[in-house]
Amino acid sequence: MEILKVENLLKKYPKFTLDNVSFSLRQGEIMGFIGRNGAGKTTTLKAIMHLVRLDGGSIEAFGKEFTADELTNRKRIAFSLGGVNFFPFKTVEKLTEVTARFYPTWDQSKFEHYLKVFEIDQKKKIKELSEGMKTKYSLAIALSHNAELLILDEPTSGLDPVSRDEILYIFKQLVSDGKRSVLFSTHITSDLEKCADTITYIRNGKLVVANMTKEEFISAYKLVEIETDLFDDKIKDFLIAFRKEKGLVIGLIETKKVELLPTFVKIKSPDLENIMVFLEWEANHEKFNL
Amino acid sequence: MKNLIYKEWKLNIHPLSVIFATVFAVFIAIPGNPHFLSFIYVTFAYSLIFVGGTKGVDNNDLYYTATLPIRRVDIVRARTLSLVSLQLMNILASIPFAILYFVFFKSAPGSEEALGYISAGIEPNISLYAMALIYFTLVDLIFLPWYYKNINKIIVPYMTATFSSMIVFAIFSSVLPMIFPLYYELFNEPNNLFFQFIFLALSVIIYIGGHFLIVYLSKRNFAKADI
Repeated sequence: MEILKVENLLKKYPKFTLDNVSFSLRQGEIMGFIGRNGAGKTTTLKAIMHLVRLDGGSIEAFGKEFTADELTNRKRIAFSLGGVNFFPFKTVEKLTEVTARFYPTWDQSKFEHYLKVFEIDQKKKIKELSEGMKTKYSLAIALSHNAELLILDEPTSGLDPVSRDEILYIFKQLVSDGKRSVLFSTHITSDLEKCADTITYIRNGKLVVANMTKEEFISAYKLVEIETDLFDDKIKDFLIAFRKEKGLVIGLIETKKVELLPTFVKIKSPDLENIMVFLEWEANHEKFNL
Repeated sequence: MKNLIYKEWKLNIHPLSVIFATVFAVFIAIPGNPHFLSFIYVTFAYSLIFVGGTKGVDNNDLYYTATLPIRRVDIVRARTLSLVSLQLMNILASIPFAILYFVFFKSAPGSEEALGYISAGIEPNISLYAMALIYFTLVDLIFLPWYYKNINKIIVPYMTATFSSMIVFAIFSSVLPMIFPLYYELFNEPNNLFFQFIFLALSVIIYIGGHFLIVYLSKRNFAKADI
């Protein structure tokens, strides 16, 4: 069942346009929404929650138009914006006491259980929590009101590798019963390798891929390695992007074009980071042509 | 809505705002002090509510509130109600001091000459309260719809609203009475009590109606705003 369906989102700013963004998320799925800083990830997530007004497109949640029953949808969704500190001088206890009132399904014993698991002290002020703790606190809130869909903006940004791994492990645990789904944005490709079922990739406000599995995404590209002397314009035309280093030309190519390359070209499997870096490079090729 | 109002008082309304609304009401009893000033401080508390606490840190309230399962219109309503409660608190807190002014200072021997000499406009009477209600309406009418149109900019709408309204309030309550004796007579003297009551009734209508209009305009602007 599709828990979230985003179709042709259009949002125009003077210097940026979110252009026809479409993707969907199924129940029990973790989707990594990836793109570099400023690509439009946060704007898309805000648009889903109707925090920014759209110039076009539609959003369906739980099988219905989001605005048709916005209040109920908001109760079923946990939304968290990364890097935002709410009421930094209030204690966890006080902020939670207020937040809980808005959710009829709030389960205080569950919340206390998660605080214990996440080792969060209720008496601490929000500003005293580390970034990882803040993310865990958001998750504790989401789980305590039984959110079915978690939309999290850069939950792993700024975290140390151990905390990041913990958060990603929690995501996997959350969806394990097949009832909840997670949509999280990130610019860290290893997050996707660790826990995302599907990938949606945005670049300069436009989708590069949507709803692809990691395996499909990785298998769609190959890395090529050619000695600089053997590199010519014919090969160059096949590549998405390339760079020269240490007597070699390293580039990215679509898998379907590999057979067109000469046999002396070495072909390797890329990882997500390789693909993202070269795809971004394609978009900004001039910038790197020093 | 009930939960939002609870949130306003638990998280947003800084204790200093309540002090601005209540303790500063004492200014109304000080002879020679422009009495309208006791209604000004409460509007200075807006910045504490909209931006954050005294530590200069933004509470990011709107980001927090916008993620809750509530409608945008309720955010506007709850905030307007918070401001209205502080204003009414200010008015209620000032009434005992206004009475104190008349009972102790105005009725004291020799006060006629002394107060006449140091008078700074309309005394803390019905007219001043009516003007205060209009002042509050004016501040909110300029500030709230403007703020909800562009939520990332607060200083310009806030400063424009408070200072322009304060100047208008000062002119009508302190400057005009000093220039035009008839104006002073009409708004200040007990023999024009009927007129002053009519003025108060009118100001109550302006205050209530004005705040309905303020919520309507703010809600309309906020519906189009990007958070």
